Order: sequence, then structure tokens, then C-alpha cells
Amino acid sequence: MTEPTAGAVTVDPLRRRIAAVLRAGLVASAVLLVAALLLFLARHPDESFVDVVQNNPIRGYLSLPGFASGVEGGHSQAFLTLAVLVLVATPIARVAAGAYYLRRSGDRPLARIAAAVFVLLLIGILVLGPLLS
Amino acid sequence: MSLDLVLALLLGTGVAAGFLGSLSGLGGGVLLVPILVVGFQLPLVDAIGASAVSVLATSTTTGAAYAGAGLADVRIGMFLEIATVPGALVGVTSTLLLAHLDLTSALLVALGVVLLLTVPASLREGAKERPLPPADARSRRLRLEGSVYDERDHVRVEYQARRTSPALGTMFAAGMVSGMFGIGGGVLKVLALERFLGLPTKVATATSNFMIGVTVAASAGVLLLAGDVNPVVVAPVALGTVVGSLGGSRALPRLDSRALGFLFLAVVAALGVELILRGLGFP
Repeated sequence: MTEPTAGAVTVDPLRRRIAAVLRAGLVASAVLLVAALLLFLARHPDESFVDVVQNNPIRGYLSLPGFASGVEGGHSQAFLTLAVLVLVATPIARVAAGAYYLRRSGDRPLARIAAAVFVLLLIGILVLGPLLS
Repeated sequence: MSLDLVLALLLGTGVAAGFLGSLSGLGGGVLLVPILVVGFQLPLVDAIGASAVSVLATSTTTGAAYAGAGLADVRIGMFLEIATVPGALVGVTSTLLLAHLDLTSALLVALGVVLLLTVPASLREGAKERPLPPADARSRRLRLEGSVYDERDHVRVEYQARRTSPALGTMFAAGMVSGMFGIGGGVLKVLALERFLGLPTKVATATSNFMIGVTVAASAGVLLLAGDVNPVVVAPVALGTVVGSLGGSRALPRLDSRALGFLFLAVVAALGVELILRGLGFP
């Protein structure tokens, strides 16, 4: 099972690329989340925690037209929605990137499994989310 | 209390949950849901949404680090996600249906029981050395194998996944628990990776962390589109949890993590009892 080797750690390109996708998504969502939250607090100074909990500020921005008009109008709630969307989409993008790189490296069986996970995620979220709202 | 102050308290809660969760190896989600429900009077589904996004942020941070360092087995993780993702979708659907049927008290009791079960599961000794069965046909076909450098013994340890069918079943259950309660389900995942696949502990832990992000993305995505993720609550909790878990992993070598781990488990058990009592209608 074991064999002595030099201690050097080699990381294959798949792992490096996947790590890069995760880092990019994390940084983008963190920056967006902090900026959008500060904007929200600046524009809604009288809002109480109970108001925020009872009236989720992003409810009106979860449809495509609502989101688009919110971004166009510079509404902080639309940017909060975008920040959470980017965060949730990051691992999903990682699955898509994994499927792509696995296929490119000729690992077709595992690429097919990763692609199936990606489709399952998309269908599950896009169908179940609105259905259960 | 002003909104700014509540958000600062949520940030502090995230830091503490992430820090202690990282030291105990359970992750911060186990603490977040009960604290948000009991301490901040958040509706259960909102608390689950906030916890799911926070767990997702933490797992993405650690997953990137473990994948980049070559510790997480990306191929085995991606293979097992075919079970955790449907599990999470079933779990989150059950939670939302129970909430729509006004049965959140049943959810509170179920979460309390899960928290209480987590305590003995996390105290178990590492998998005992025992002869491993040969790798099954699926593992050989998909080449679910790898190697990791053991810094203590200065050897490269090679491994190959063994029993993939029971591992897939356990991963489905882990995904379901994760989806239902917005937690990572790492205890079950590590169990499957070590016991059924025979992975070294370090690889099992890193691979579990790597997988949690995708598992939780399934439930967090459904909760987001269902309107049950409140970003004003999520932002401070998620940022705090990421900072706390990074701090915890750095402080781990310098602190008596065993004593802090026991403290964390005691808090988890107490919150479990509190949730059960709440669910059963005790004041």
C-alpha cells in the first residue's frame, strides 16, 4: 500500500482549475455581499430587524424581470440577490468546470457523472425553488 | 435593538460558530440553526436558509484550499455527488413541504434528535485498522484511486475506493440530512469515505469538505428561489462563519482543541434538547 517518496506534493491540473473556479466565485460573492449590504443599510436607515425578517427584501427580485429592473434602477436588494446567486452558483460552476476538464482529459465515464450532477442541480433548483415558494 | 447592532451580533455568532465548528470538525452549521431560532427568534426555514448559505461559503473556502493543496480527492468527490445532490433535493423538499403544512414543530424535534445523534457520532474513535475488501468493479472502472503524502511517516500512501454501493447509500442519507436542516452532514460523509471506501482519514476529511459545497448548493438554491434566504441575515452570518472557521483551523495546532471540542458538543447537545422541548410545545 505504501512506498517511500520524496515529500513533494504534485497537484494535477483538474484540482488546480477547480480550486481557481471556487476562489473566483468566493471573492466575487464576498465583495458583492459586503457592498450590497452596506448600500442596503445606507438606504434603509430606519429598517428594524423584525421588518427585515418579516419582509425578506429580495422577494421582489427573484423573477427575471424584477431582478433586471432592480439592477437597472440600482436597488440594493437586487445586488443582495445577485451576491447570494453568485455564491450559490459557485459550486455549481465548479461541477460544470469539472465535467468539462474531465471530458477534455479523456475521462469520459466520470465526465458523464459530473454532467449528470450539473443537470440535476439546475433542474432541481429551477423547478423545485419556484414550485415550493 | 437597532438593525446595525443585530447584524453585529449575527456576525459575532457566525465567527463563534465557525471557530468552534472548525475545532470540533463538525462545522458551524450544527450550531447556527438552533442559535438563530432560539437566540434571534428567526423562523426555522429562514434559519435553515441562512445556515445553508453559510455552510456553502465555508465549504467553498476550505474546498478551494484542499483541492489546491491536493488533499481532497476531487474525482471521488465528484463521483459521490451523484448521490448527495438528489439526497439534498429530497431533504429540502421535505422541509419546505412540512413548513407549508405548518408542521415546523416536527422539524424542530427532528433537528433536535439529529443534533443529539451527532454528539456520539463525532466522539467515535477513528476507523479501526481492519482488512479492507478488494475494490469493487465500479471503483476499478472509474479509477477511483489516488495517493496522499503522509507527513508523519514520510511515505506516500496509495488508496483505492472499495465498496462504492454502501458509500453511495450513505451519501444519499448525508445529503438528505444536509438538505433538511441546512447543515453540512460531514459526520456521515467522513464515515462513508473512511469505512466503506477505505480512504485515509486526511483525504476523507478534505474530500468531505470539498463535497459539502455542492450538496448544500442544491438546497440553498431551492431555498433562495423559494424566497427563504434572507441576504440581510445571511451576509453577516456567512462572513462571520468563514472568518471563524479560518481562524479555527489556524488556531487548531496551538489550542487544546479537545477541551473546546467537548465544550462545543455540550452546547450542541443542550441546543438539541432545547429544540426538542420547543417542538413538543414546552415553553
